[in-house]
Amino acid sequence: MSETRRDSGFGNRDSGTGMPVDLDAAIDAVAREMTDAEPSGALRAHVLEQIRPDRRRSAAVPQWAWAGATAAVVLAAATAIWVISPMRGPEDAPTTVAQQRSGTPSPAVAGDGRVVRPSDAGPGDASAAAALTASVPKAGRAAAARSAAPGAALADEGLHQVQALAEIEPLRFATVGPDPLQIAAVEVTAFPAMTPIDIPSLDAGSSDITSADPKKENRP
Amino acid sequence: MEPVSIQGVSDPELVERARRGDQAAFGTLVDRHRTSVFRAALAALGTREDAEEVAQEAFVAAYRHLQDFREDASFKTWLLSIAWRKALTRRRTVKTFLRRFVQPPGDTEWQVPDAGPTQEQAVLGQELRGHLRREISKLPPKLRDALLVAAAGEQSYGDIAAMLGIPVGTLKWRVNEARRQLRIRLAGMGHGHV
Repeated sequence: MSETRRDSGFGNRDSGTGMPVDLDAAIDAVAREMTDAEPSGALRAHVLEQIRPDRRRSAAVPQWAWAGATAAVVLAAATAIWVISPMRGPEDAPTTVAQQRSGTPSPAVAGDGRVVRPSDAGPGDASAAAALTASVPKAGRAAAARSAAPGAALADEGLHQVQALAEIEPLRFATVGPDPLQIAAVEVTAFPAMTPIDIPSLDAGSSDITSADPKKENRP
Repeated sequence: MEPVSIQGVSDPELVERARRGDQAAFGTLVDRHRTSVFRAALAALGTREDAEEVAQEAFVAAYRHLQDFREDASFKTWLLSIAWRKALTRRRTVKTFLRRFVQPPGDTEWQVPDAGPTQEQAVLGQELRGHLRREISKLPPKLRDALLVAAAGEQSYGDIAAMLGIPVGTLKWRVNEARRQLRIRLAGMGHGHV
């Protein structure tokens, strides 16, 4: 280790003691002092404790296995929460009062046999919209017929039946147009007589007409 | 395992026995190199607690990867490389970073208690020693690491360079640069001239 120690031969003196100080030697001495410590005597015991065969087997499970297991547990928990949660996505939610009553979705059927949901019916899809509107009373009647019987069963299960919302009648608009213009009579009077305007004839080179812009008059 | 005397057994032989499951052999390796590993970790981290934990982690990691040790370097160098990597990893942790952020580098950061002045230190004077400790702590980490590990006197420059993963020339330059910067700073404090 003599390679790491050097004697520079500097003739410095310490300002405090006035003693000659080799700064490099002082630096090395203090640096050595900063790492001059011994580990605790329990280090060997701790290491041997951790590398015991039984400890090693349990610790030998790779970290990716733990990560995978954790991810699987989280996924299972999330799936369970999603399944039992009453909150569902908009696709699963009942879309009409009748569906809310009956608890079973009853998508409207368009004239061409397609299943139509309200979100599917665009402005131009008149047949789908009509079928959807038409399906509401039917489903409502069917739900009303079914809702009488299960009331008692719900009470037996400790559940309370909630009054369904009143059906919302579809908006109906009459034809909207402007009222016709009503004009009682039109009276036309003669124009007053006009005095003739006397305009002298203009010849080539005539100076009778002058420009309003005097600058243009000065141009050659 | 049949107990055998392993006091005079070489490191390669102990490594071979440890590979076959002889924990006593590995315990001997721990005893032989624990001070070097601990001091290297201490040079990087500055606190006994962290250095102790890193040393422990390094020995455990070395045992678990004994099959990967190819003996193209000495066991000690290989072990110190593991310890050094672990120490640097710990130095980059949020906890360590925050501690350095909250507590600016200075004499208080280096939590190695002063063991009392040796004969060599007695001639230095307390003021100079205090300034030196503080200024060494403030050095850029690469320079400070090189200086502290080299000054510890545990290993040759070749082993230190292998441990730090740098060429020997770079190591020597860093040690000299650390000394040069310290001399300049100390001169500014009235401790001699550069």
